[in-house]
Amino acid sequence: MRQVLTTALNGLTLGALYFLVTSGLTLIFGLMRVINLAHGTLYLLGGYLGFSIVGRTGSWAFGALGAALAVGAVGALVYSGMLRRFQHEELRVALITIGLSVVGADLMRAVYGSGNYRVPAPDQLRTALTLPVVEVTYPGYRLFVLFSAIAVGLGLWLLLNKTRFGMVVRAGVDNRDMVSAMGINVNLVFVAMFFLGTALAGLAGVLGGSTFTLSPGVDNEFLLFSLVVLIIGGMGSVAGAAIASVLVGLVFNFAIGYAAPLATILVFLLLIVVLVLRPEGLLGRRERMA
Amino acid sequence: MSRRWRAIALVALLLGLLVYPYVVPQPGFWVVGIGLRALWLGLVAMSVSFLAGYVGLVSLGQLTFWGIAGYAVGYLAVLQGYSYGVAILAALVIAVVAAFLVGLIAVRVQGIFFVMLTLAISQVLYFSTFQLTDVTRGFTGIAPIRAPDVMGVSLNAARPMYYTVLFLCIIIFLGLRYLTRTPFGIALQGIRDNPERMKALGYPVYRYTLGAFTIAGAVAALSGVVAVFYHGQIVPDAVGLVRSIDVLVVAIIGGIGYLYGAFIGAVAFSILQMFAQLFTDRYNTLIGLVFVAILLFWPSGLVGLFQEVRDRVARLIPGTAEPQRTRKAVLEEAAPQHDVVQQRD
Repeated sequence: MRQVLTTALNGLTLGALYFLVTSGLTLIFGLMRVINLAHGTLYLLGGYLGFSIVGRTGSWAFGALGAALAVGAVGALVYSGMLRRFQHEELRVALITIGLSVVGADLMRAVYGSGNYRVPAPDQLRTALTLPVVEVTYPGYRLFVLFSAIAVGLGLWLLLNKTRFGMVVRAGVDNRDMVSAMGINVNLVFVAMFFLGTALAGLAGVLGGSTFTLSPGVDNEFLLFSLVVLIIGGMGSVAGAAIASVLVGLVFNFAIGYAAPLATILVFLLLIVVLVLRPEGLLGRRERMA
Repeated sequence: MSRRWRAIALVALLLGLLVYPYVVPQPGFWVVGIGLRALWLGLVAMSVSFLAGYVGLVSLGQLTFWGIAGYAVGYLAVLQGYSYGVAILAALVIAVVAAFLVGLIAVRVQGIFFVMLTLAISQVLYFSTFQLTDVTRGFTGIAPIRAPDVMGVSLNAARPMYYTVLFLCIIIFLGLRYLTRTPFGIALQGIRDNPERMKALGYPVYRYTLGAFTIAGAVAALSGVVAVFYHGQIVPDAVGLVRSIDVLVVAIIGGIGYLYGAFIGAVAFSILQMFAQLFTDRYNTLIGLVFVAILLFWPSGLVGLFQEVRDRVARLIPGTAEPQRTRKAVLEEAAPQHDVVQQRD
């Protein structure tokens, strides 16, 4: 029983990380209909930057903040410099971001080599907490990751539903041209969204970098899982991403625990089942698939 | 180009390909490292180009079937001790069935969804190679996989292997080219341009697309069989994301949508990679930048560039200008496509 609970908690933490990574991807897609296939690369970049900053300043919070801002800036720059011109050619944007992921992965290897890194978690969180009622002992830091994801999710919900910026974004999702015609600088909103979306990948990199190792290849792993979560949850839906990441995290961890050779395949089967039953994803919109 | 010049150029190309292994210095480098590598790489990239140009689907997952075929040969021939004939045949069948099954799901979606889905599928294979250790031998992979003897000639030698693979590539290329001109192939192009209309005309759009996807999978699988003998082994990294992207890079550099462009891209890619490796450890950065530059500036690749130059030259010489062939615009979505219906000027 305890093992089941621990596995479930591991699944939830992993899901929390997937949600942090995918929320950025889905926000960008929801507004701009472009997919950033360098998203996993940005996760790894965030982790490495977080490692370097924490090493210099000794503060985990600085590392997380600095990495998120820096990665967001990279994202916004790439968007304005390269992707904006081809925004209506979604396929071309996707392929350009693949090319950038190759360059990014190679440059990161040049700087950080192929070793394993881990961002040191904040001291206060390096404790094992015993959860009440169920009496399961669990690392405090992992619970912190879980709560961070919930906080980010709530924050995004508030931002999208309760602010003027969110109103513009939601309007832009429905009808980009109309928003533009209303005199709103849509381009600025796009840049802001790219910043936010990629910054979330950077933040996830630091949070994940304290839980799992950072090394070449991790970028592809997170790209794969964020794409799977994105497709299962429904493209462009933040709530869908939340549900799907918990689902994928749980399936993957239980599979690792009880049927290890089939772990990745089981996650993929989940994807197929969802695609067959609901091609638009759990909370996606139908018209968008074709 | 007139018909006669075209024929002369083709014969020259064919002769060039035939004498190539005997005239180049350092056969280990030029015949194996560039020639053979470009052939199998071009073959799998051609399956990408076929899907992109004639069905309108850009796949990042062709290495999945390539890898399944490769692993199947390794598993059956080396680990299980079956004869090469059985292993190769079974590997092809397994990979084609896999392509069919994947296609059942994958061809339901289009555009970037197809890119994402095929990418996900290729990664599932990659991560599974570490987990299904009974079949794949995990991290170490399966080795050594020696090439078979065909009629008393060992294909482990560079030249026999080169001619065998060259012959195979030519046959597959001609076969695919023929296919694109059959009613089935023309219907595929109709589906690429306007699936709704084709559906309204009574074409079984889903089944046709699935058929094309399975055929592309078979081509990729053939390349996988060749490549596994080329490498003498199969390891997880061979089916990793970086390799999948390489295949796409080859198709794009050559000119995605042109079947022969895949081989031009493969030659260019092999040479670029081989020589870049001599000068810098960051050759992947270089290749990535070339790839991005092509996407930004010449999305129809080397073939498109060549056609543009040719058209400009033709316009300079009065009297020789032929009606311009419309360029395939796989990546520029809004651009109209006129491969089936002749454009009226």
